[in-house]
Amino acid sequence: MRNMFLKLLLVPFTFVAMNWAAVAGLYYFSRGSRDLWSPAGARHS
Amino acid sequence: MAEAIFWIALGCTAYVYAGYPLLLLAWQWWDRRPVRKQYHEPSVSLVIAMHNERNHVQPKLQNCFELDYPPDKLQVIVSLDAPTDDTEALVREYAGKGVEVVCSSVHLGKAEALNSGVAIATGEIVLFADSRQMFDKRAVRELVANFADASVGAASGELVLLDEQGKETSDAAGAYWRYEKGLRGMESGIHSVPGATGAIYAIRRELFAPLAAGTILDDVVIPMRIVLAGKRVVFDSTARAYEVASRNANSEYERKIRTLAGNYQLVVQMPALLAPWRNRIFVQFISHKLGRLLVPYCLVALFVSNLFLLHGLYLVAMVGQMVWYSLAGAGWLASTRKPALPGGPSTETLNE
Repeated sequence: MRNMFLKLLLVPFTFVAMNWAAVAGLYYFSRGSRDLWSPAGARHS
Repeated sequence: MAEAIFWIALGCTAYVYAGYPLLLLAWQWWDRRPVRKQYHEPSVSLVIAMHNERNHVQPKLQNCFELDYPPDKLQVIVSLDAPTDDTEALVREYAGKGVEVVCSSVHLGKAEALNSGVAIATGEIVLFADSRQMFDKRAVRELVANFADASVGAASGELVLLDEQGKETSDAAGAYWRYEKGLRGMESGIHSVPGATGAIYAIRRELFAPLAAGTILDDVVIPMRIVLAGKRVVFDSTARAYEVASRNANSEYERKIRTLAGNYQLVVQMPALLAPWRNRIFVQFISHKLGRLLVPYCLVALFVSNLFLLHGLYLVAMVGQMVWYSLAGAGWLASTRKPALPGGPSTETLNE
């Protein structure tokens, strides 16, 4: 029951997190961040 | 003014997540183009790019040897990108078993590693794989069967996320991933998928052109080049790769940021994708890839405009938004607690 509740909580969290990731992605892309371009970072797209 | 912004923002968000899938449903009913799949055995080069993957070398290469495909028609290439652990030594142990190794002494990135791997590929079909996902035994056979259809330039397999019990994940991220795969299936039925699954996708070798250094999303750039060249990129759910979903929400989130940053890079690198007269899947690309980049700003506009409209239906909308974001905050707090929640945002899932 508790697990089910936690799973349900993750639905809005996942939705918000993925949308925030799009904003953060633009920020890192516009900065040309070293981390972003690092090969290790690009490996599992 | 606030009302107009509210409805435009709501309309855009609803289109991306609900309207577009409905459009695809109607579209494929009207104009479905099935792939004329036929089992045959062309030569295949399986290219795996690795950096520091010491824990995955043995299971991955063992998995390659167990595939249901004639060994004399399957060239396995591991392209090493200057590993600093003992990945290279582990891979070289397999050199005597038919695995071809190409190794860069300088850390150049995944794109360059793929370029180096494909440079020594001799197969008619090049199959790309990551080191962490295991192929189903029939995956290669199923995937290459799509190339019997001359209109197909690339074929993407399906990545199945598993939980620790080996069952397909049933959490939020798993549900999102299934939604995503549903979209891909419909897009494939109409013409092409705007991107492949990095863990398992194949192309005709003659359609490969070296990737620019620093390319983040090889699994989108390569397929979209193929679409621009006039060929189809199809999704085949019978060609499967499996991955145990990671529970580390932070690392997954970081990866997600890179994936979405890759979408911005894609538009800069390939402006032709924004030209409907050149991009045959312009609607799909805009709706699926760019729409996801637009939604967060729509959500902000929706919230801010709603602040100026606190009456009637708009008040209900405001309460709904407040509840939604409160739950999201609670989910975030819960996800930061140990032990890990049963499934935070996961690797390949969000906004693929």
